[in-house]
Amino acid sequence: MLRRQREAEAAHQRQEQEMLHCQHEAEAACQRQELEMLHRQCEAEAERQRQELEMLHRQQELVTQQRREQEQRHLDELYQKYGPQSVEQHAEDQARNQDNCPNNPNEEFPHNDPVPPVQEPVPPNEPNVPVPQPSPPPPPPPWQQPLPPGGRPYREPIAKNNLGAMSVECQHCHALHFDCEKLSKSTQNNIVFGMCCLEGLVQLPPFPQWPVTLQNLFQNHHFREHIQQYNSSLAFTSLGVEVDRHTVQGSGPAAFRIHGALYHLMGSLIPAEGREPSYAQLYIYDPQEATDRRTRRNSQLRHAVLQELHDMLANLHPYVQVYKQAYQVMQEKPLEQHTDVRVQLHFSPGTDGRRYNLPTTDEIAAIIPGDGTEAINEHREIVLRLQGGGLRRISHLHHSYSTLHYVLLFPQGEEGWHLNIPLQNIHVTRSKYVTQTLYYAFRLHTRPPEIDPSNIFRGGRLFQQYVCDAWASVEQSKLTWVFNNQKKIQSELYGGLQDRLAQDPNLDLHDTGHSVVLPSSHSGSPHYMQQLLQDSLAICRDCKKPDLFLTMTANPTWPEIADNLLPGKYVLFLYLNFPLTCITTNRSDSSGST
Amino acid sequence: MDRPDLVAHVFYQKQQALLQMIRKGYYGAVAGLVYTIEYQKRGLPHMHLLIFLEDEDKIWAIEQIDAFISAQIPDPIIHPQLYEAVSKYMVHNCSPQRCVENGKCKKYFPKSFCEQTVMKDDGYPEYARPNNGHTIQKVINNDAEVYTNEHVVPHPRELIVQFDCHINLEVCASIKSIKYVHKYIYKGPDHATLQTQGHDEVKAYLDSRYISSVEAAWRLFEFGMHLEWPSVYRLPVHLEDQQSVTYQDDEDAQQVLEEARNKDTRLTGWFKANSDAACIKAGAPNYLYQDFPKRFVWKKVKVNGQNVWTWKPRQQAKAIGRMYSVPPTAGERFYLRLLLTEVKGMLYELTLTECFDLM
Repeated sequence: MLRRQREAEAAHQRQEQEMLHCQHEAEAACQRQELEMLHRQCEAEAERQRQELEMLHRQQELVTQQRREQEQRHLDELYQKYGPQSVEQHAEDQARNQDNCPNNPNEEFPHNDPVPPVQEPVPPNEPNVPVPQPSPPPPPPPWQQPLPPGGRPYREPIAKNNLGAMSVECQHCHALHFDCEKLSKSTQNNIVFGMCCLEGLVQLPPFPQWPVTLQNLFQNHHFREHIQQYNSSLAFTSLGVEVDRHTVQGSGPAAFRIHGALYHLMGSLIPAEGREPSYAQLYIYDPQEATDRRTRRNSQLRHAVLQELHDMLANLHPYVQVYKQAYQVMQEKPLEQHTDVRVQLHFSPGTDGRRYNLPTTDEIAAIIPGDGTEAINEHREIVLRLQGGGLRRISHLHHSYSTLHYVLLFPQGEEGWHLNIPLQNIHVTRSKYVTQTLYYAFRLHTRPPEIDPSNIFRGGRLFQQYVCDAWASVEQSKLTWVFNNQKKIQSELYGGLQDRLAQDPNLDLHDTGHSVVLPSSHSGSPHYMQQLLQDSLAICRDCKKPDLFLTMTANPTWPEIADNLLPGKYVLFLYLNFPLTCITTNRSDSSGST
Repeated sequence: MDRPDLVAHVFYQKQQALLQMIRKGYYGAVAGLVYTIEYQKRGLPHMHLLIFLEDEDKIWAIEQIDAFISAQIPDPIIHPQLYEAVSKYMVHNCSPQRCVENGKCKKYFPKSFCEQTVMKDDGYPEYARPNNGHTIQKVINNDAEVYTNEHVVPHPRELIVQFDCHINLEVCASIKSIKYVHKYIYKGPDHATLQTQGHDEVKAYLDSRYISSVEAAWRLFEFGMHLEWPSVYRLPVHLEDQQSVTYQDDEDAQQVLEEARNKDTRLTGWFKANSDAACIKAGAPNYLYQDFPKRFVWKKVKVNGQNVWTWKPRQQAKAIGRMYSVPPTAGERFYLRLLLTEVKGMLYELTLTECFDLM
């Protein structure tokens, strides 16, 4: 039985194979036919071309023949008139003439020289001079070889380059990306991205949703226009930077640009004699009076809006409470100590968990009264003075650096970057902690609304300022390193070191060095650009001259940009109580419903 | 523009797509590419790109220039896409803030009509701008203006439609323009000129920098600011025992010296490679010091458990070398550099001082 079965199976398989074979053959035959067809087409095409060429040739020959006959007739006439000698002379003259004027129309056929060669003692009556065969055309010059794609004749329509939708989620942090941003090692089922979270190494809790007051205000055109002014009148710290106002006001959108170093400055809790209170000082006042003062300082701002914002911050921002408490502590000291007394706000950064717990007043600061003699770690602590002392910088490494100034982006005292945010997995080549650049790269990616409300992207010019501030502080950190490690990056000539060592065996390397330099390793520094220029000239030496110089400028109206401005920008605010999946993401819908 | 992060993302991707096309031979086989990213006054990023083509595709002829570059307004009926792109992005509109200086446009617009592309003596070609009656009407600040071929910035026809943005393409026809172009693309980020006291480059840099929001986002995403391809090896030039030594200030000086003595620089490594059997087999003595990185890589290998840097025959990728520049005032070092541009396969035994004796 089994054997028969097997046999039957084998037979079946054979049949199948045969079938397959037949199919293959049929296919092959088909392909062959197609190929033949193609071949024949090609041949036909070639034949046609050959014929065309022949036609051309024949025409040319005809023309030359005619010309030759004309010439011959002319010579005959001359011969009849003047005899054989003059004919030769005439031919010589003509040859000379031709040498003198290279732009002769006969130049196109230099090989079919219509002038009968002088040395050929042709009997003038003889009409059938042998027609010289047209020699093969010279090889085409290099530029007549087929041009690369960029040189093809222009033909429309042309498909536009499109990056598609910005809707591919990072599997680790859910950041939204364009499809083309995936790493080259991605497969179809495993798409990975590097720039948002280093494939899951950086994990930060999302910022909480803005309070409703702020959400509603952001629908107000006036508020969005003046958001920077509103923010700075409510901030705890002031911004010490020159904002570049020379940007060309052309047709394009205005970008925020800063110039020079950037600091956040903090003053004392009571203004100096004869000065108006400002910034953090205002939070100690009665809210009504504080708002009055703010409106007086900046007449563009509306009283009602400021009042609303002040109330919101007084309720939500933990630093308002901290400042009030610190003020009370210091106020209780005797009056003569007021210029010396200070309070140290000692911060213990939150336990950076998966979920974002808003810090409470007690958590963000322990108030330690003192007289200023204590050792201070400026990246962890902020020292408040009651009076005097002028404006002092806040360390840009402090974890409340951003929330103290960008009160409207982080109205609930959200913690920013600090030195001790751990990476998820300890990577061999990296440090244990999230760097500033990684932190901001993570924060600057939008995520779907159910994961992260992506508030800060709605901040308009204030958001731009925040981005500038972020890079400025990263660069400042790098420069600080350069400044503090001048000795480390200092390189001394080997021989020089040898000489010094010969003179002084106990040489201390601390003493060798020059003035402060910004090395060529800092990108953007003058030395760096110099080295790049040299590199490029080396390429020039190797690859000979550059051929093309191309300049490409970004177009702010690219559809990819317009389509990915936050989806359903305003709808989000209106339907906040509905399940988040119902949110329409169509911009035209949103504008209709607002 | 309120989303600088988005502008950075999109521009980076488009720019990479364009580079990819060019690398795949859009303008012919590519021998080298150099680009830098800059930010306009208004904060929009742009890329300056220099394309070096292989010898067989080098651009020499007017016909090639005409095939690649156009400086004309197309026929709006035959090529509506191109007409739209040219009128949107490629018409030069003089404005006092941007280009007008002393009543004249710094970029010499409007240019004169020109029936055919001509190579001028100063190395810059004059692109064909025939007076063919094609015009573009634009309304700027409520003034209707009419532009002709005189106002068109030279551009690649297909690319501006495809990428939907301003792309200016010029041919570097002569040697004269190279220096200008290089200076132009490596002028560096915008900096104010400031008088600084003392010699503190860090402070000077900090005080004079400009940061626009798109640039900030670009840097935070760690997108490339420039590219030099093929990569360039920087080769030190030093006299015997005059190489640079890096050390930390808490190291022991004796130890630093000891380590430095055992460590080869690229130059001393080159001398050794010229007597190394494997390298000689790979043709080491046939190359100049500065051409050496084309065929050899400088890499770390383990010898007796210690990391040692040596030259090894190159298996893949392209690179070229360049020696650091040395001013003539450096004396012997300057002459050494000259010598190295001529002598191939120098041997270690022939110490530098002996070389001078030979000279």
